[in-house]
Amino acid sequence: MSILGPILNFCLFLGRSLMFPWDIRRTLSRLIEQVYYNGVTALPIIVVASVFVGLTTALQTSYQLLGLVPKYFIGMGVGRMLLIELGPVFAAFITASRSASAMAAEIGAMRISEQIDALEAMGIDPHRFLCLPRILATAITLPILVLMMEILAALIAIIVSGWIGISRDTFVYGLTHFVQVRDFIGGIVKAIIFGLLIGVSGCYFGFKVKEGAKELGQATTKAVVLAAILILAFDFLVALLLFSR
Amino acid sequence: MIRVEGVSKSLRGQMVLDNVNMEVNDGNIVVVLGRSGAGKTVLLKIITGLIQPDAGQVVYDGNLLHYGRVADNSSVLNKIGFVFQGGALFDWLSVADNVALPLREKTKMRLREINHRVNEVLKLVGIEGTEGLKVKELSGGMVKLVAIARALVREPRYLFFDEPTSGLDPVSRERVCQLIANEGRRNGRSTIVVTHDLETARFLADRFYILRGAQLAQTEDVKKEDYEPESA
Repeated sequence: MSILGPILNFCLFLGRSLMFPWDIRRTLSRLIEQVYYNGVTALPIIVVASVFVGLTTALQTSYQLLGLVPKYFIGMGVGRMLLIELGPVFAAFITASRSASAMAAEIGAMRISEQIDALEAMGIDPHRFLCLPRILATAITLPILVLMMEILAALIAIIVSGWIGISRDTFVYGLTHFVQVRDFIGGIVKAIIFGLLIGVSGCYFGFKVKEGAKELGQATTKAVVLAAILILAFDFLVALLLFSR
Repeated sequence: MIRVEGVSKSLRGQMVLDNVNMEVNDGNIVVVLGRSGAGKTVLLKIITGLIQPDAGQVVYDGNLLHYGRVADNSSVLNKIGFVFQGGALFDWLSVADNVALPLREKTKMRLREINHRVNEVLKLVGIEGTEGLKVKELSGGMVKLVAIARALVREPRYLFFDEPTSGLDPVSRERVCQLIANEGRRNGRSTIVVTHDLETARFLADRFYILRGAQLAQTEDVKKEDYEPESA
């Protein structure tokens, strides 16, 4: 029962925040602001992360498979890993660490300074006003960031393929000929779900703040931890639904 | 008329309000006095539906206020103007956008009408020309005035002020008091002011209540010793 209560509360919060998605018209300017923060300002860190993801994936795959399978399998392995797993999960972790913590801190500070009370006193639903644009923004921007990470990491992997003992043509052949549309769509579906979960985690713990800087700090930590756990749990669930044979 | 009937509330195991009853007639300003931490803000938030009481009820002109997640109090909330202690302005919005917010969100007014009304109310509170300023560019007194403008913009039937003069210099305090005295009784409004400042209370009140030891008592006049026992 003790674990069911928070899960139920979280689900109710999600439902309440996304109950009237068409109301986003009224908060369009805040959606754009949030898309800018979650997407555009995250680009530098996504670019840096993509370089290392591409390098490491190419290196590790060749280390494990070179000499055991045809060389183009390594290109295939890198491509499918990036699309299905590494792109969505790494980009989601980066977004969670930036956006979920920022949302929890921002909304928590608004709770402390009575801005959320002010919305309620004006008859404005704070879930629609504050949470809907934030949650939709992460759900919109994360697939785009994932796509960018996948492309960049794949390009880096192609560039370094010569150094790991595979000709560039063989690597590109494996990367392009054995990757399926389903892999790409599965990765994007994951990114959308992860985006929703990151947004809800940040807003949920921000709303739970009642008073004080200490509680605010705890809320940001909890938001990131919950987002990370949910990303891993739903990564498994989506894999089970889309990729199990 | 606002009627508070038998409201009780405990916080962290301590009784903050014990069977509180009060009435605010049309066109009246009622002041609730109490020392800091006495539960004045809790009372105000219960009256406006922001905090759920453990017992009791609040009735606005015959309409019972409902509490809880799914409670729909829009008919009452649309007639409420609430000025919070710190202003509770949105720092990412300009002065004009803060004041316009209730109109944009809760009415079908056109942009031109909204802008006209915002200018009107900013003029009323005496801060015309500040429309484009951000909240962080405002002084404490101006924050209070913008918050009052936001509360007045929908021509509320009921007005609530939480420590409206705390932290203000004497000039700003007089300005805010004068504004509350003028607007608080206009068109038969019912207004509640909670404060620990005796001077503000004496200037504004048609009727005093003192909150002390979780009990609310009505009184004809008030002395500081009545609610600040340590100063006696």
